[in-house]
Amino acid sequence: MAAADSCDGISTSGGGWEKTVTLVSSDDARFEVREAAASLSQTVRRMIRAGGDGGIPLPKVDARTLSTVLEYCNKHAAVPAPAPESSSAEAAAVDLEWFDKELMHVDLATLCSLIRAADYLEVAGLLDLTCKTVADMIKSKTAEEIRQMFGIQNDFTPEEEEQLSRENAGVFE
Amino acid sequence: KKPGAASLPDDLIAEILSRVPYKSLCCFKCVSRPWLALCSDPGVRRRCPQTLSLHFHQTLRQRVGQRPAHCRPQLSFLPPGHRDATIYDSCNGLLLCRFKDVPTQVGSRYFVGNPATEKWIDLPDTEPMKRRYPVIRLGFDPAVSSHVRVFPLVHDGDICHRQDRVTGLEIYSSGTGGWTYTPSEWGDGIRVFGNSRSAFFNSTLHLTTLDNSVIAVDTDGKTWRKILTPGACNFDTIGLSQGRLYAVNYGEVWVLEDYLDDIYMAVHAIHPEHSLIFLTAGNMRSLMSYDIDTGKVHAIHTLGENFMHKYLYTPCFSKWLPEGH
Repeated sequence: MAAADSCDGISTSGGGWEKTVTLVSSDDARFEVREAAASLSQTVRRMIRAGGDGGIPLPKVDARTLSTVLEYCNKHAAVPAPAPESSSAEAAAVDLEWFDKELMHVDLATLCSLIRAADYLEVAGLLDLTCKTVADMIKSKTAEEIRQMFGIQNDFTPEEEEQLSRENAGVFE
Repeated sequence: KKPGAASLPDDLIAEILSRVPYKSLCCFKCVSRPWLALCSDPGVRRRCPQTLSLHFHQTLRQRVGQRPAHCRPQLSFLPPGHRDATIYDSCNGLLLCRFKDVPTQVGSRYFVGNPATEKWIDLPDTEPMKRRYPVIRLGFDPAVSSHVRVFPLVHDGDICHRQDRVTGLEIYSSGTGGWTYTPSEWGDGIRVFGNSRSAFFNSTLHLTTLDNSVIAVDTDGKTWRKILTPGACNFDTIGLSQGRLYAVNYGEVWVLEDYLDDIYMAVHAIHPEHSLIFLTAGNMRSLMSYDIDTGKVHAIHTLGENFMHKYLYTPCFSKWLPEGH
């Protein structure tokens, strides 16, 4: 995504005038986004309200992650609200679902960065989407596979582990 | 931590864990101490999606839980002193059970329990529950109330035979801890017996009858309904899936389309979340699932010729007992 140099301003997009804001990532990349899209982030929305110039600094999100977050926000904020139950509403929902699915085709480390960013930026829809994606990824894994995936040390004693697996061999095996 | 590995703070791991099935949570307890704490967190457990987890069945010769090697042999989650029991009903994560031998020190014949949280209450005895073949059902919906209802039907006969008529209903509420009797408003001559199928939803108990109808009563015993079946048939089973009531009659599936009007449209049990029906077939009662949407049939396993009843079970972690229990 192109980094724009302008501060908060007015630009043309989609044939109409839309207010934009500039977001600045931790590695100083600048992103000019429609305010409607940026406002999907409650954190950014509060900062817009607080005012200020020279762009909104987001020191906890790097450019790569932020560009994905903004891709999500742009798409989700662009969805018009046609009459429910109309065929175009259905098509838009299918399109959005497809878009979300495609966006989640990334590795676990990227997903974790997105979860952290969605949590910090308070983009509820994206937090839910990313957490669900990881939940689906891990739900059939064994404890050892989980340790590998998340780089976790097994800090149980062999006796404790034995005890736990005995307990869990219970009802749901 | 290994370099390059994905890592997240605990509160975000909790966000993920509250979106995995309960079965996975149990397994993930063994990952590490912090994960054990997260997986045991009541907040995470309450939020985690519950899916159909178990299929309880009992056989003729043996009591609850005695079954072939591929099945779990006992209901070990039942509390000590409660293990020799027969399941009478399963509703939204709770089980209604009857002691095989009534323990004199307890003095009650039935108890209601939640296997997921291992919490149990013994029910006070009431006249219809002392009968040999009572028609007794459970009503619980954690989305509506944390209180559990138990509904034993009152019959004009002594042992609830098929020909005995329903004269009334006792309702137990864990809110009051007591029974209330209400005479039947379903009309005369309604026959319901122990094997009549039931479904609890909309705070209402639904039961199949032997008189071409489905009868319904709400948890307060105030609203009584009798819904005639299509073509004057007797439904073999009814069940709830994705908010709709389905009924099966000789392999025909009916759905109660307009709840307030009647059953309109067109087997064994019905999956609560998916468009799935469980069927049994043949002498050996092969258990199969049938996908209503795709028409695909999938064999699950053979229940055997001694197979009698089945109860589906989805874990529930909501609070269900009244304060003070």
